[in-house]
Amino acid sequence: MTTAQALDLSAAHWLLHAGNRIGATIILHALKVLIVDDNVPMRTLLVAMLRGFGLRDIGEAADGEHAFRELRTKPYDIVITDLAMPSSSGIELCHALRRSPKSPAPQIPIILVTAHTERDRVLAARDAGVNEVVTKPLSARTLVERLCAVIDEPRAFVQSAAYVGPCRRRRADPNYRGPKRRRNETDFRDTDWVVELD
Amino acid sequence: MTPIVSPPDRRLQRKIGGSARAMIKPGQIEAAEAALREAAKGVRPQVMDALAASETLARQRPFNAPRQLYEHAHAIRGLAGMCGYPKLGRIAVAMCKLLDGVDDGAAIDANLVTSIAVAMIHAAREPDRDPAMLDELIAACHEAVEQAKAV
Repeated sequence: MTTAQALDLSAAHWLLHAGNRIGATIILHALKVLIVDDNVPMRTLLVAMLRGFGLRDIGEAADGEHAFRELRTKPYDIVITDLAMPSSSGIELCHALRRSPKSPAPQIPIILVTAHTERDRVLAARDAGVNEVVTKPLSARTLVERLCAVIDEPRAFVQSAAYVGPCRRRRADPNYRGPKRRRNETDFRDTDWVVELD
Repeated sequence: MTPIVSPPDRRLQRKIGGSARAMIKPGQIEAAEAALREAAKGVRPQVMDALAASETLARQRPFNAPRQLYEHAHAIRGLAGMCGYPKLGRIAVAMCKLLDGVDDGAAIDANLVTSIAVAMIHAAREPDRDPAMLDELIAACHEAVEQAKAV
């Protein structure tokens, strides 16, 4: 690399980062986010909020299967998915992304959006490997807090027979004496729509 | 299988050039909330359509479309609060609880379904007319659903 090329790269890097810091609404513009929801109006509202925060590259998918296919064609940074969708749910998508050998992005941050606030459903989402859960009705503040959490506070990534996803212990506890759940075996099989993919 | 634990990946922070939280300017969240409110104006007619469809289904006798009505109520539950109808959203939660897991053709109190659908219409059409009464109505819907589920 010549000195001129190095300077060009350095200038481009500075401009990118300066632009990120200076702009009132462009801080997150470099991120590519995929929204997965069967409900078109909900996707419209999510897109409006994300655009309000300066995101420009926003993809949409109507269910888990389409999202999985979309992720195989384009490198997204974050997935925001609904929980309940008629054909393939957010949990199913999460399982496929985290554990399928065909997954294009096993470690991609996943934010789950749901109107279901029951404890068992939230725990199921956590155990499927979602990074953050946000409940409807959404506000821009709540959404950006979750986005900031996956960007600023990434967690260690665990791959075990029982679980694949961000570490579920948000705080390291050196005195932990509980069960070693990561050693438990569980069966995982690709769902039909993943099996059928090339 | 021995668990593999990879360290936290800070790729996204590097991509945006630092801490996302530190970059958020005062007023930016309000601007995004304003963008949401603006977009919500375009979504309200679709909430009203789902509401009308819910009422039609709930008034059918015999009532035999709990799955379809659940789908409408679930959509309303998710959207109502973001479209300025928080109380409609709370009543839709009651409808969802009542119909969650109920298969088409299963026995269900059709009159309760209709009552909740009517309460949803009321919460959408006159959300500010008598807030205390509407709160009582919401509580009554949830109580009736709890009782129906307990049977």
